Amino acid sequence: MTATKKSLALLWVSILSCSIWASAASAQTDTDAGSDPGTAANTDTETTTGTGTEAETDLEAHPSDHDEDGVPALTIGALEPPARVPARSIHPDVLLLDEQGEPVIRSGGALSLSRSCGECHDAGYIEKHNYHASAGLKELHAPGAREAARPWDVSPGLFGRFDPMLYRTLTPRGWDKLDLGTADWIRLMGARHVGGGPAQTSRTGENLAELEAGSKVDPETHVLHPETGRPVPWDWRESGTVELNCLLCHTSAPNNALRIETLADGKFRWASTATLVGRDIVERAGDGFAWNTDAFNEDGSIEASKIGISDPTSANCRLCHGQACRCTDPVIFENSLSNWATETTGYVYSPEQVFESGMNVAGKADLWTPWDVHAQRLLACSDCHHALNNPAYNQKETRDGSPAHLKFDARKLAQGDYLITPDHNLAKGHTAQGTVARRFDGSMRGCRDCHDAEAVHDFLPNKRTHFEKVGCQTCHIPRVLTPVRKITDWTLLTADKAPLVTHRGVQGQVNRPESLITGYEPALLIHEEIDGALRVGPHNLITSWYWVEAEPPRPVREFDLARALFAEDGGYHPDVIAALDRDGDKALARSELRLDTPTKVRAVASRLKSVGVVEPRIRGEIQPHTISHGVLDPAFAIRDCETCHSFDSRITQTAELAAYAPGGVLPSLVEDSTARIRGEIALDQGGRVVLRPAIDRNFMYVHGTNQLAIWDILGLLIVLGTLAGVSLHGGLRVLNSRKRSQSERGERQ
Amino acid sequence: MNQKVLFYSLYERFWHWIQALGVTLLLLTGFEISYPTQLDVLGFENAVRVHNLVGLFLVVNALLALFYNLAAGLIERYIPSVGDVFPKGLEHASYYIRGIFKGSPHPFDKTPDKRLLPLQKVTYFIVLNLLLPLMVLTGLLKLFVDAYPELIEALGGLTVIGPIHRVGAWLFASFLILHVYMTTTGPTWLANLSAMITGYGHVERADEETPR
Repeated sequence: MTATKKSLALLWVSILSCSIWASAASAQTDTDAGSDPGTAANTDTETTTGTGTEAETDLEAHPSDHDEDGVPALTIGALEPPARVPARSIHPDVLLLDEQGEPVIRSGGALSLSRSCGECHDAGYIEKHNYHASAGLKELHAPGAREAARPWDVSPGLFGRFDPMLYRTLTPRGWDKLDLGTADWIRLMGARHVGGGPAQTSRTGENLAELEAGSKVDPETHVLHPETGRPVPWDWRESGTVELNCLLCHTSAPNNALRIETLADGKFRWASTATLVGRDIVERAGDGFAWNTDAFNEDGSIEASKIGISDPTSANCRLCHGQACRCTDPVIFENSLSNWATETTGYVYSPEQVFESGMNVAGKADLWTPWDVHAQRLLACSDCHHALNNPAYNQKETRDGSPAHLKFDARKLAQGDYLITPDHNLAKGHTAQGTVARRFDGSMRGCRDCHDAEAVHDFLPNKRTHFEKVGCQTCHIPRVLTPVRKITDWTLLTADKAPLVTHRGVQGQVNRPESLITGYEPALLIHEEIDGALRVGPHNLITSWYWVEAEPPRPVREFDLARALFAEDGGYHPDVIAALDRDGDKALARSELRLDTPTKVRAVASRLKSVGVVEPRIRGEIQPHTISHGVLDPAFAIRDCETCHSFDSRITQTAELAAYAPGGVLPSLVEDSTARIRGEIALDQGGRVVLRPAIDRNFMYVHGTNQLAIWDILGLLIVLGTLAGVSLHGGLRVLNSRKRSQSERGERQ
Repeated sequence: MNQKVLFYSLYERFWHWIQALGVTLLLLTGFEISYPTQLDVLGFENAVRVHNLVGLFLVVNALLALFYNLAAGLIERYIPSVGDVFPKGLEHASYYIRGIFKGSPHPFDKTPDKRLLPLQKVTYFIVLNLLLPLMVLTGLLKLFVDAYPELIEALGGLTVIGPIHRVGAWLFASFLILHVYMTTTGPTWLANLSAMITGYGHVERADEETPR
């Protein structure tokens, strides 16, 4: 880590520490001012958060800094059940072995967990039955060959599915331009990958460690040189590969920061070893690591308690999924890609009451709700996302796998067998964004598997019909109380070469202690459930724009984009400045970074062509993120019928997707999502990109919202016609009656 | 000779006005349920409650009326003959199109035994045998949607039943407007209305052998 990075990290820690006090004061101000999250407008702010700025990465990378130098003054005690670490573990002593099977204490080599844990557990089985490890490797396909995939996607997982927030594209074999080779993928994505899978095995099933770079550029054996943009060979023998890291989930307080740093440094085989640093077992020594012989028994084994072996806790899951919760102090969190779930969906899986948190949430004094009621009820992640063959849950692996008549499978795996071959395909839900391992979708117990909704909700007429069409989350997560990512715009880059990022749900800059977090009302989209039923559910819509080139299209490499936009001195290229500089100061302010005219688009496209990009054009897409955590206290659930049954129904509420459309390109929904948009995505009069949802009348009939249905227009015409008819008829009768009276008077006279 | 006679019994008048009040309430609450933003009197939740209660009440009231008319042998009054459609219906319509403006005498006499004129018979026959049952049926299906999901699904679901109920409501609103207007086409503007309030109306006893 550079000195600059360390300084930035310290600065951020200081800012966030101060934020506790600042937010307390701000919250008081909000309360005095009568701020109410229910009335607070959905707000958003533009930031320049990149794919993980240095400061953010470092902040995440040093959790110990938080714990030791954090905010003890406001500590309110442990709220989450303590990690299940017995004082004396019943797990036997572990012989820590290296890749060759030698005790590390003798060889001094890197720890091999497949060797060490594999002495008793079937490491091969665990690695194979593990979609966290494979990350899409098992579902690889030719670019765009999967139904609904982008033309350049090669899998539905982290390894191969393009994510515009991360941007770099895994290069398939045969492409003329290398972007993200496998080794670079590990360095970039390793922070959120548990190891094994594509970090150990090639796309064709070979051991990566046995691959040698040839003369031909191969994404498995080459990486992109960050300065020249040229492919350079990667030495797998030198780096080693990344084994499935058991310690990351099965030990308390693994050193994830050093693991990530080790991966980023390309020392892949040492990643598992790095995870143990800080336990007096192994320490850093120069560029490498040194085992502490005093910690070991004579035979090279070590007590399990020294390693900290435990059941996986929510804290382990948070290492990658980033659901912010420190759980022993007032909750604070930041929005960044290293806090993934919070950034994309606003999850804060914490038992703490919102009003006690360290965040500057609007109207927080009235928010007598935990960040998530399930966390408050002491549910850990693994209680729902359990191993599929865990005999305690006795759940079928898939819902399609058993005869339809079988309601209960009496056969159970013996505990001993389970401990040897625990299926690491964890039970999963069914979300719009969770495209990997869809075959396991719905293997998790959903809301209705635990809760009998019809036993309560007595205020609700026609409960079954409501529950059939409306997901539980729709009413029980009426509002997300955190900022979330709204836009990732890669059509231009900020001065520090990051994309233009906008968040919703915050007034002011995100991650600033003085900014007011207003939260937001999630968009309600129709979601296709695992049983094929369609239900309305809450989603965060993240819209992205980026350049693509060639045909079939593929994203313009980040390297080429930066080369096109910036001059060699690091500043913006003169052509770019000339096109975008509105105020004529020869510099580009953040507000000037907009491709909102054809001239500007042409100028940037021209720059891209000059660095070898073929037929550059802008593409926009919307990725919905299903929101299923962050369930608020029932008192905050929607009970007012008119929330949905009204002209301005939440179901048909217009949602702003972006303040403008770069290049005038309207985004479209990613095709491999299980959420559906009914209605239109359009530019409004102010140039904003908006979603105007409509109710699919083939799907649901909602009183009060079907305002301009054809039958209403027809009916109204009939009523108006009748009124007009009787008025005309009556009028004519009156006129004729008068005429007759006059005539009769005339005759009498 | 113009004679004052009893047209409507107390029960018939009570039934009529209860029905009128009920239909009006149903239309208003139905409108509020459909357009809660435009019409906010009871609030959506209360509007639904009132709509459901009044609807059920009217169903019972309609069934009682059916029983009454069957038991009293009066049901034939509501069954039009072929002659009521043609030629009487045409003659009746011709009166409303032309004769009424010229001050021509009504082509048909209204008596306590023949209180429904030809076009009235046809209209009521359609309303009571088609529109009302349709509204009752779709309304009950909507009300008890949770109890009979398979039946409702077989009928196309709420997305079919709901619009049918709504179209029916618009037609009922049109019928109500027309019905109220037609009460003004009696011997005087308010004669028919008065008869439905007091029960009494006037009949011509002279020249019975030359029906008009």
